[in-house]
Amino acid sequence: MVLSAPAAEEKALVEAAQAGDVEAIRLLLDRVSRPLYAAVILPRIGIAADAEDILRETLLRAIDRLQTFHWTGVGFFPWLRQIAIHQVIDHVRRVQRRTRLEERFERQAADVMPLHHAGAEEALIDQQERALSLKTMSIAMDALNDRYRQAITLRLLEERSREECAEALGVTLGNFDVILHRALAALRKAYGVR
Amino acid sequence: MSAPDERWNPDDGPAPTDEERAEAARLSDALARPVTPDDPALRELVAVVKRIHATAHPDRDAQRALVERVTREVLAAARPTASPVRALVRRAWPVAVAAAAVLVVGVSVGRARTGRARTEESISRDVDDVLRTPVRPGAASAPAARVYDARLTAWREAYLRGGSR
Repeated sequence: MVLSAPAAEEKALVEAAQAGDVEAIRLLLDRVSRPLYAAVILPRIGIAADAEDILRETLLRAIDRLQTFHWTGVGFFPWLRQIAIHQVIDHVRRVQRRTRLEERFERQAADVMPLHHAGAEEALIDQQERALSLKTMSIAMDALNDRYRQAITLRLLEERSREECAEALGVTLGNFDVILHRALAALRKAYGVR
Repeated sequence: MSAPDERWNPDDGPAPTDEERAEAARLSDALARPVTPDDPALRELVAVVKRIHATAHPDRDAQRALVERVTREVLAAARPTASPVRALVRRAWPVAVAAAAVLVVGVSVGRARTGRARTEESISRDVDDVLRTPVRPGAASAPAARVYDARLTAWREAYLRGGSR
């Protein structure tokens, strides 16, 4: 199979990295680490400090297991993404008992269908991963009642002030806080706890 | 602009208790602070908020800086592991362990055999046996003396050759 130029370049980088070329490892990680953190790990974890730990552990494991990576034509990112999602699952297991979220992540980890092609640029990987996260969030939001969804949309998606949100819902600030609290508790069930 | 309704709207669910109002206020307060709360229940809700925020409003510059820092740290930590020598060592360790095991078994068997040989064929023991044999005066003592002489001579020659018999 003839590889595209970016895919061939990525394959060459992987081979150099597997041969122990630290610069190649750096280039490979530079290419995919940001979308990995920003579009795969952080949207599934939320807490930045926890997400950072997971990113670190993912990269360390990837380097440690680099020799086990076999080029299958879909590129390096899906392999790294799989490691990251397993790290996310481990984290979720450490902090609480089995959840629907954990099951969902397991399905995502088992999904071998690549989102993009080998050699894809960071922006494309980021865009596709983010679309997946937005879709997951959107499905969870759809399960909420209208007022709760409105509270979350105004306060968190549109980033309006508490005062503006309360006014839009026609309630006091205190009552808006209660609505948002309930909305998030409901979303937590649909969206999954961490 | 109409004044906000102080009363609780039944469309928003049952009227909140004072405890729920206090929790909602704590959440509102936690969301206004950069520090993640320690309270597990609050922390879970804050995490949901941050997941939404990370999905809808990624701070690309901050994320890039963080990722670059972590990548640098990881590469610094993994540098020795990634070297070709380390990689070779890592791949070759089962062979090294097997070789060591063979060596240990070989030495043990060799020692056992040597020990058995020493026990069975020890010159000194033979000599001792001869020496322990009672020496009686007269004709009976002559063979014992001859055996002693012969074995002692053989042992001495072996010793002088610098090896065992």
